[in-house]
Amino acid sequence: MEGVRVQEAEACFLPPLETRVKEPILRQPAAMLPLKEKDKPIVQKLLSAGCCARCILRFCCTRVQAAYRQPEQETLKELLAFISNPQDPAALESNGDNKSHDAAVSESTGDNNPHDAAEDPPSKRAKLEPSETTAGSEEKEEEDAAAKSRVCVVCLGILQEFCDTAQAVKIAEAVKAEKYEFDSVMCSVSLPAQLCVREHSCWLHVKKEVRDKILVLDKDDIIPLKEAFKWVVQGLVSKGLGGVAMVNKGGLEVGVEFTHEATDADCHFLASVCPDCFKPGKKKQSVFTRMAVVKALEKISEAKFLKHYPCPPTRTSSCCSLQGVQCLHVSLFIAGRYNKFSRTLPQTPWLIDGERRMESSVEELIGASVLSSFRAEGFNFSSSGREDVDVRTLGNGRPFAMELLNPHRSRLSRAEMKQLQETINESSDKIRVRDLQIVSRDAMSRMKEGEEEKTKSYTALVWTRKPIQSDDIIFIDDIKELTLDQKTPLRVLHRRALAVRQRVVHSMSARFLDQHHFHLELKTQAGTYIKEFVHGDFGRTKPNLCELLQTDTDILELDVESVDVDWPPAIPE
Amino acid sequence: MDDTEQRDPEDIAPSVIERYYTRWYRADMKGKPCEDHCVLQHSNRICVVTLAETHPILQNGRTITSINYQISDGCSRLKNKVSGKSKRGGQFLTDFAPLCRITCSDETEYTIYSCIRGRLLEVNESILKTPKLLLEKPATEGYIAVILPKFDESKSITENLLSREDFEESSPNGLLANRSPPDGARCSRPVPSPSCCGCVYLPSVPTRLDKKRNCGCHPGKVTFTCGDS
Repeated sequence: MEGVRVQEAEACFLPPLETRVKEPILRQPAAMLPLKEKDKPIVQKLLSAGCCARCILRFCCTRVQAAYRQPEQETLKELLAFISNPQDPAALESNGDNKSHDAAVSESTGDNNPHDAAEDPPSKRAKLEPSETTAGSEEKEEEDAAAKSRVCVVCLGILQEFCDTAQAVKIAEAVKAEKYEFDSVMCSVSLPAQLCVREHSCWLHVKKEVRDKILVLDKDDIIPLKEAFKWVVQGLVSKGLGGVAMVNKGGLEVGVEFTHEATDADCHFLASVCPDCFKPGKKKQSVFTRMAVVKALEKISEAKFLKHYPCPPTRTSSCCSLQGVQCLHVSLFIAGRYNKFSRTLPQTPWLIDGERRMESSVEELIGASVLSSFRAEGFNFSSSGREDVDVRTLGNGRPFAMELLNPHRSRLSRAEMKQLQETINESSDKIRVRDLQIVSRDAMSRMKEGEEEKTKSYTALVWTRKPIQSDDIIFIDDIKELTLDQKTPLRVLHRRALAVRQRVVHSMSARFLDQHHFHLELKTQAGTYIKEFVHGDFGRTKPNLCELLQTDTDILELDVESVDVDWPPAIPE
Repeated sequence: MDDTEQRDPEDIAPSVIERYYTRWYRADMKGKPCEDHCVLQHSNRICVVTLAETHPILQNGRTITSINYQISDGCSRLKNKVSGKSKRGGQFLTDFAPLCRITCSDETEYTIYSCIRGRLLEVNESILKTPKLLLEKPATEGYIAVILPKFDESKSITENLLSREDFEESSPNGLLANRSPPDGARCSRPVPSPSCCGCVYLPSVPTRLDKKRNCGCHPGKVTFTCGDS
């Protein structure tokens, strides 16, 4: 907790520090970095372990983004200058402008004597150095040189060469090539899982170093690698894309994925130590997912970890490689109402044993034009209920909504939407669409809410075995608010739970056609199975029309006349 | 709708059963002459077990005195309960699992079997209250039970059954044409030998025999005639 407080204090003091720094003509490198005396041993330790400058800032919990954005070599120089600074605060002051820095230190450490804090490191360093590196200062120098030139042991180059402007331009170009139209960009980074192991190892390395210091450094206080990477790269990518806004959610997601095959084996020891964290899944290519590795690292004891893995992590000569840039635009939602004029057109593709039963479907007829307008990769279709393949939907139609996946275009004007609607309607005479509009994701749920409560109107063509009498017509017309007990129809029992559901037929009216046929108009509660009400479904819907008319009845045709859901809002023609 | 005028009401477009179901038959259940069962399989694989039109219960104006789904002391089909979309908890039935026993006014008792492997979804409780349904509408409201075959067995379960065509052929006088009840005059359709070896011999046309179940002790065509044995 103290660590967090220190950071906050630092942040508060930073602006005056920066303004003061700019005043002297001679810019003092070390002054740029918001580091304090007690960071020194950490910086020293990490430098010699082969950490890059930006990773060192992360381990020092520096949240000053500007410090990450400056060129890595510069930061490194400043770090080297910082640790080679005399330990005496007075000397620091004479070396440049360090008043404010010092002030920050004394403020943030509270009642701690800044002299104590400053004097501590050298003795510590003196104590530790011989045990750490068995050789003398020559080797130390060598190591420093290695740290400068070599790939960072923690980030494997992520915060080094991949933070270059050139890399950011490359990412921006990859995005441009996909020809998206977008308002904002969100950056997502996928890193090899072994970076967690390396970070953990490094953390144990410095934790040991600062154990008896005042600063209580917790692993959570370390700036996540992803975050630091984004601080540096996001702005550069945004610039490359013409200054588009960078956001944390929504818009175009630009995913960069890094791998580092040479060190993939870093994680493997965890599987033998924590086998329960690594269970093979169906979709997983490897059990060593980032999540699993993080979980295992939380479980594993320090001693066990150190037994199996070097601390600090071993150096490698190669950088991570950028696997590619994946672009994914957030889904877009559109809604409308559709009519279906065909009795051989299913709502969604009808597959039996993987084979197609009917040629097209409502969703495909609508989807084709929509996909090409929005240049989307796919869609999910949903609607307020659904009709059978042999049922028409007339009247104002049935509300539907579509989630467009990865649309390359996300804005259509009202006129363009109208044009799209016309294109759909001209493409087929089996369906018709109206009220087509772009909606929010939340608005879609309103359609589903209305599904069970609202009423629906139907017209059925009914056959009767006995000749129909005029009494029968009057009898039917008089029926109001008839409650049915419907057992799940056998027709859908394979995919719905078996239950008796009560549904209300609000009203009915019969139109005589001939002795054995009449048109039955019904207004019912949504969710009423009309076909079963007419033929009885083996007596499983009660009462049913056979029972009411005391003869066998069957349904020959069915039309949905209206679906009374007031969403989406009507759009005047 | 012009042509509906001319349509004979009895000869209309296919009925619900004809539109959505395939009829399968098991003739002479367990070797008992004419105790034919009918299985209606919906295109969604669900099966409805009914009495075939030729079943003795439906002959000679019999009346039913009792229908009992309690098939043994420990097992009642009425206690069957399924829950959820996956129909958990339903009793699993094999081909020869009894579903119920029906007693007629002449004291004869018949056992109705499941005919197919699958999970029992429901039994028809309406026929307990109104046994007449069984006699008047054996193919619809007088059904016995609903069974859900396993997904991968939905095709193979009917291999041991007779198609409607085969079933009609096996009774030369036509499906409903004077097939006599077993206790009356003779039934001309071949019936299997009474169990000679204890094996399960499926009483159907030899070509439809389940090979796994054929024990090999019935070489060639075994033709018996009702009442002869």
